[in-house]
Amino acid sequence: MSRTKNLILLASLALGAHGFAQEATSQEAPAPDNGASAESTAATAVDTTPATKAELQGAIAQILNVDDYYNRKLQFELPVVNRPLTISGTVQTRFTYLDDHKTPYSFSIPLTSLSFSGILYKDFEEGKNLTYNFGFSSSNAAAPTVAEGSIGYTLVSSAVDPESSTLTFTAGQTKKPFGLEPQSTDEVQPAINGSLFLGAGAFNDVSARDIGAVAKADFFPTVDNGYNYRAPLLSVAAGIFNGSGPATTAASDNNKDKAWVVRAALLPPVDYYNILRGLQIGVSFSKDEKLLTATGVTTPATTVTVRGTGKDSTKIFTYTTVASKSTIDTIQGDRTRLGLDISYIRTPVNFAAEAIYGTQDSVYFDATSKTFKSAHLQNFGGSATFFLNFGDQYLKQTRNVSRPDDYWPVTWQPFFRADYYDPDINVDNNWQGALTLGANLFFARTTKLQVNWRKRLYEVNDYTIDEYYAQLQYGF
Amino acid sequence: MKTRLFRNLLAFTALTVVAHAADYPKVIRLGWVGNKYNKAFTGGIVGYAQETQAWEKEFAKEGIKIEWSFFTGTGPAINEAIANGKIDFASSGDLPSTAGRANGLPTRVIVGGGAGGGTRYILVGANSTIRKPADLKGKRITFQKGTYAHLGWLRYARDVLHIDGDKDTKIISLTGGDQDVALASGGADAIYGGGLDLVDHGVARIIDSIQDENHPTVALNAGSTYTTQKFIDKYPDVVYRWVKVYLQIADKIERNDQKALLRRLDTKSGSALKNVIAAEPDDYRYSNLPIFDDLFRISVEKAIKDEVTFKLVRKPFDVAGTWWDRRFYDRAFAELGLGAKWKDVIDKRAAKAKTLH
Repeated sequence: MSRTKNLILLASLALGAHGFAQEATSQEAPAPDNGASAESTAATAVDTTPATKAELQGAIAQILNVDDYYNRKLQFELPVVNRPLTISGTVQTRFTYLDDHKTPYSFSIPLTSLSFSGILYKDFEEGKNLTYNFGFSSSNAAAPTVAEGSIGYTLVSSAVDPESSTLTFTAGQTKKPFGLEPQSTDEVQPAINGSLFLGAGAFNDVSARDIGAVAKADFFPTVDNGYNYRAPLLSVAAGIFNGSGPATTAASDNNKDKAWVVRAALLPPVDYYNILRGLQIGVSFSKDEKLLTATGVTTPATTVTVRGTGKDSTKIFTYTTVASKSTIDTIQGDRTRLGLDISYIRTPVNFAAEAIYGTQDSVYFDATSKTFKSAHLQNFGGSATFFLNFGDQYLKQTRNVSRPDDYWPVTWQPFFRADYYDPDINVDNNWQGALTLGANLFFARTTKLQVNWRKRLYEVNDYTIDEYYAQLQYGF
Repeated sequence: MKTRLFRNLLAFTALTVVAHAADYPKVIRLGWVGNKYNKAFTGGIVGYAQETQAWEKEFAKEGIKIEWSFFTGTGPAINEAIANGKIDFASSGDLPSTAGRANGLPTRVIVGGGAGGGTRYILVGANSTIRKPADLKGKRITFQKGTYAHLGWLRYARDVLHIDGDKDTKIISLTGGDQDVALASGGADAIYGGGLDLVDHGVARIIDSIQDENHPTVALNAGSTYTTQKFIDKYPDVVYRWVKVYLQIADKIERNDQKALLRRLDTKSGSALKNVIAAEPDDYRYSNLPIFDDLFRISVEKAIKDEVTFKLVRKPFDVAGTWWDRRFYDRAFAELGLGAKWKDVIDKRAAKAKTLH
């Protein structure tokens, strides 16, 4: 049936084309080009000779071949999904050499990720789309874990009208809206390793995903119609999370009052070509209360036997000592973080810096008094990155050109970053730092070669380690 | 007049001296508007230059390569590329070219503009209840914001429908291919500036066509071809030779007896020949010959004035005095004797310009 309909359609088209060709011939016989040169002969005119019946039959046969080919593909070779789906993934292959005279150089796969995203409901009229995002990630030999599992709803969209504010809600496991780097793509973070403080003990959860709900909004956008450029003056995000990290269950969630995270960012209300375009100032705050645990030195209950003295010297006495303390103590501990960031991302010159200050209760066993005590730690960390972009990698419109080949412009990205982390600012000589110099080479659309030299600085014991990294990051 | 001639001669003497001293670029990067079929071709003068490798041949002896880019993001993408120093010569519609310049983009128009005269269409779904243009009020209109269609729609709404195009309709900003999908799926009620291919496929029908004859204030053509001030300062001789080739080709092909050739160039970007013919101007020479004159100036100034009214750009700017750099064009125009060759068109355009004052 389908083939019959196709044939009827194609025959109609063919007859129409035949008639049109004849019409074009009779009406549009081009006059000779008196000024014709070799060039104009190359760019020759339309051949308006009418097609023969045999030629049309040949064309129909070709189209039917294509029809058959795609019908087979649709039935037997193409996967089927219920909703629009984008599958993407990223893999990192890394070489590491630490010049510490003990760690052997090694190859590793620090990241493999696979994600699925799409639209559950598409609102053409107002852009109030319902979206999903789901993915796994793994590091080296670790089993894959859920990295992202969230549903999002756009209540107010700028997709239809760029001058509109926006409001979106996301629920599930997702990024917490704190700080600059955790929110950013590699457009803002060019180094192989993230900022030092994000991997440090006091702040190691800042960039981790968590389970909860987030609302994000932006207001007062400046729209430059000449560039499709939109810059909201104020962006705000607020979320509530378990505060206990990804893949938390009710049993393992030890955060009594949940973690509250708020972030606001300001962009200057300027057009695309303005020198201030790309400047952003952000402030983040989070607070949570969680159960803190500490392990003490336990003196268990024991049976002791001693011989008496004097008139009891022939007697043996037995008694039991009392245990000094249980092995684990827990307290409710407050944890607050305040983050400030500033960035200027304006290819080819880019700069990003952020600082984070935290207070955190901790509990420990005091060996002298043989009691558990709590402490109020103050931590500080920060990083500053200067980098250049030579190429089109981050020019979102410029890089999309019509080409018959798999064209992608090569982009160079040299950078320098300085890192600082102090786990307790009330204790002297315990800070760590790092200086990183590196370059990225984007040589295909989603593939880059990264080379980094990082000098780790340890104030404790006053020593340094040179680290060398080379990494291929590729995705699809 | 003599003073002006003297000034021009002096300027070109200086340019020639600079040109001899300057290095040539290794590559000349051309940025043109892409099309919804994602084909790396364009039509008209530049399409002919591309096909015959006219600029490649012109600059071959200096070893200068020509790099072509056809931006799928059309005019706004061209502005982004210019702003980031990625292309040297470009052309875009009235809104993107003037909006870029109004916000500080250091472009200089180096070639005159055509008078327009082609046809643009407003399409609605084949089964739509919209029967006449007035029915578009309150409906969902799709085009790509920031392009010529954006200004065109707001003018059409104001001058033809007598409504506010922003407030009285819902604008859905989509690129060419997505516009087709939105109309076919019912996500949009009409396309402003849609292609006739959708009509052929039975997806759409024409609710109105825009031509100089029926909607002259909407059909005004004010797209511009430009380079950057930096490129002019560094390579004035290259700019002159580029412009001269452009004018040579314009003189050669923009003629009514070259219709078949022009149509073939237009179909290379993916449009069906039938639809190319339907949208073509009656008089190629009048519509497409690139001329710096009052008609072009007034058209651009009117575009800027409307863009300010519609709040698409914040402030107007001087067109002929500071944006245009006619030196290269005027020299090539004189050397090629185009004043005499194009006299009929120049006169016709001058008459048209008087009606626009």
